[in-house]
Amino acid sequence: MIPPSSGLIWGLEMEILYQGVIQGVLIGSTYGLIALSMGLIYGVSGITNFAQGDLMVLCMFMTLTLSTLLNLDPYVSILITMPVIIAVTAVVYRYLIQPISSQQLMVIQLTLGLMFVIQNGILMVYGGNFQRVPSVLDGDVLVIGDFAVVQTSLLISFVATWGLAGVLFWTLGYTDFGRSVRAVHQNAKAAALVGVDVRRTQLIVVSLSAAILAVSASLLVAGRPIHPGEGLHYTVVALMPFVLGGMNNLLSILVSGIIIGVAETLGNVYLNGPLGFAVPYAVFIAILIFRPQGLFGSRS
Amino acid sequence: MLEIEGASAGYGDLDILRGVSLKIAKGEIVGLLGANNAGKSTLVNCISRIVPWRGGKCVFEGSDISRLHAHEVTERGISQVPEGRQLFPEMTVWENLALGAYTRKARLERSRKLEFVLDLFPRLSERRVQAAGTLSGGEQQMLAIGRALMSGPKLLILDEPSLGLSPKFVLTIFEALTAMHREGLTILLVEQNLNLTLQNVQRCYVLERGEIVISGRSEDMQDDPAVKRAYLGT
Amino acid sequence: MKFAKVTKAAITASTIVIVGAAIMALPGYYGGIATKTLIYIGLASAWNIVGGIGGQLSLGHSVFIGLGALLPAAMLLKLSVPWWIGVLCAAAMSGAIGAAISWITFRFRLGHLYFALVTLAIGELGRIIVIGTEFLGGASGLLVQYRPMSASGLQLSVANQNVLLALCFMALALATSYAILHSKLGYRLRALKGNENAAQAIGIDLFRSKATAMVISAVLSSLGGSVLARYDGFVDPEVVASPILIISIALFTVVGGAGRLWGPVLGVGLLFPLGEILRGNLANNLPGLHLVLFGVILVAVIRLMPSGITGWFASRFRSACRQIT
Repeated sequence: MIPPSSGLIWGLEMEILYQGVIQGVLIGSTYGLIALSMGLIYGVSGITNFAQGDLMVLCMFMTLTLSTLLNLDPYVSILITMPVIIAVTAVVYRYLIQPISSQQLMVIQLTLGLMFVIQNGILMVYGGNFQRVPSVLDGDVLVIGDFAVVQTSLLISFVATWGLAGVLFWTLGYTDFGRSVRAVHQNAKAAALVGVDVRRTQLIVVSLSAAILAVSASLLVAGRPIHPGEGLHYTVVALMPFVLGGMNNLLSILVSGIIIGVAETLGNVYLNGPLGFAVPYAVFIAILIFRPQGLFGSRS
Repeated sequence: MLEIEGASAGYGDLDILRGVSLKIAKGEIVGLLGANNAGKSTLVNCISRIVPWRGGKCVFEGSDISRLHAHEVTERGISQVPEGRQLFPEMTVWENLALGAYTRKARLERSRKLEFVLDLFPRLSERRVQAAGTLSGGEQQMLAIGRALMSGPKLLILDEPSLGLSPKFVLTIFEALTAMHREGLTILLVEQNLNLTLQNVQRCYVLERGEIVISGRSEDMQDDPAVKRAYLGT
Repeated sequence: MKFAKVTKAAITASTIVIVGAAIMALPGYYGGIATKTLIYIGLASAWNIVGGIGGQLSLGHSVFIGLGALLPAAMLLKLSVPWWIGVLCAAAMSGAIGAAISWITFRFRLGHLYFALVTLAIGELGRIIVIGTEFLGGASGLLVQYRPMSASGLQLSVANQNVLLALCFMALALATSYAILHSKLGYRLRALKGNENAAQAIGIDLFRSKATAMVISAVLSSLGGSVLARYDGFVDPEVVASPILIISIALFTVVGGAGRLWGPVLGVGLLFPLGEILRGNLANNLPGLHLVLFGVILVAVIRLMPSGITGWFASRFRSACRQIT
């Protein structure tokens, strides 16, 4: 026997589920974007920056400073944070990482060292409290259809992410520069032989990835508290889609980001307390166990 | 056109080239013969600056190119068809060719060069949108040569183009080389295949354990027993 | 030959006794730092078995340390189970998790980067699970008061018993590292580190060697976690179960010289006390400065002495020998 109100409860349940999925897709897109910045670097130089999350947190704190000093909105401050972070990253890459880039293990250790420097540098300047960066969109929500309520800032992240990804994919697919990037990825020696300056291409891609970080930082900073110690967390959040997407297939990395995002929001909807946050990690490890070649890869 | 004098190179403690000297004049087609591990690939990779020189001089059209970067050597007009073809496997035939004309100068003439290459190897135009990795061995070699020609080189270096190909494809490729030479292209052909090379080049060097042991006109070398001896390493 | 061995053992034993006595004699604050240094040397040596000798940069060892720290404390506090039973339970569980991690990562065989990435995610998962598990103290951690041990009438103060435990743990970790370096397993691991395919071609079982190293290292790390928790009294999950802990331990080892017996000893011995003293003096004015310095030192060492301090000295020594002869 079905109690009379079960239809209503069922409807409510479904609404919560939809709401969670939509939220997850929106936030996951930005996770995918951070992962994309890892995938780009890995694609042309075979290395991964374990301080990627910390660089993004650095951008977030720059938006904080710009907001308190100049009253700039985080979306506007991209114009300043982006060139700064590109310069920092390019210098670090060119002088610290590129000379040892053939030794993966050393690069990992070095970027972990950079993680300590950046994270604690921020801590020294800003102190260990959570802070907020005000934005014009604070508290703004949009209603999609007749049930889904989403924060406007999340929707902007989603649109910006896919817009940026679209431009990136088009550039990689149909321009000389894009072809040179793929050439370095597929066969660096042959790329040099046809006249591609491999080191310069790597440097440009690293700068591009830093630019993406600056955008992700501004997209994420709206409506969430920031803390100097969060860099490693973001690195891990990004490395999951990065690994699931096969480390260099950019579209699968973005889609994997959505999977991680949905796992996170659904985990928080259906599990109480901090254990909800464990869901994306559990999903990540489960996928690795059952599909070792990555989500979209085929066994080679 | 290209002048190498007393060149040496190696990896780590290992010396691979010891005092190699070699000259190629404009419009020549020159062969570089040698057994496996004689140092042939190292020599051409040094010229292309994929591998660093340890000593000696490498002069191209009057200027020293031994300290340039690999991409700058290509810009100067030396194009290499590497051993094992080294295509971009996940890109289409067209994209591989487009990348061949990557240097700024070559980009301006891309469509004209493309026409030329597709004329030379009509098979490639049938396969334009196919991924390079899915081509047959012979087609891949054509693509590798086509890609090298796209940059409009003054000197074309081919590293073992006949390796692993069926006789039919070898013939096609050598016919194409002869045709290009007739049009005025300078060619350095690195080969293991003795008779085939001697039939197709004007002059020839034999490399053995990192040193040039014999050099001369190919007609003279054809009957020289010393060549065969050096070549077989006996 | 036999005589040499006996002398070696005697020297080692007396060194340990002297170090122990010296630390017990130190004033409280510095004695505490010295005790912790011993524990960290042990933890670094345990990590070194996988990360240095095995050449696999594991960033998930915080799971074992966290388990070793929290489980015995929780069992003692909430179930009144004797401490050492909890320690053994945690060690056994860590061994099992270590084997599982080996299995998961072995399936891809995609090299250093992949291993580091996946173990880092596992470490972060461990941290979140600990924080979400009420039994293990949740986010607020556990506070345990340990009673002084007494054996056959011999009474030891809590501080001194911690020194003793730390010494024993460090000695165990170093002895295990020494044994592995001089055993067939060590030889296999080195061969695998050099060239996996070649090593497999001569018949080395890749998975078994790596999993064995991982399990040994996991059990040791867990024991170290237990000793650390006992020393601290209060166990903070954000410290003992955070990947940051194992990343610092790994980087200490890298500075000292990964894969060498004395690498962890030197790396931790130099950097840890320095960091603690800096932190103690600067915490109010410049929190984090000691870690910035640590990061800078690490970057400098990697670029200037790629095989760590011990490796650098070893190669200097070798080239000096070559010049003399």
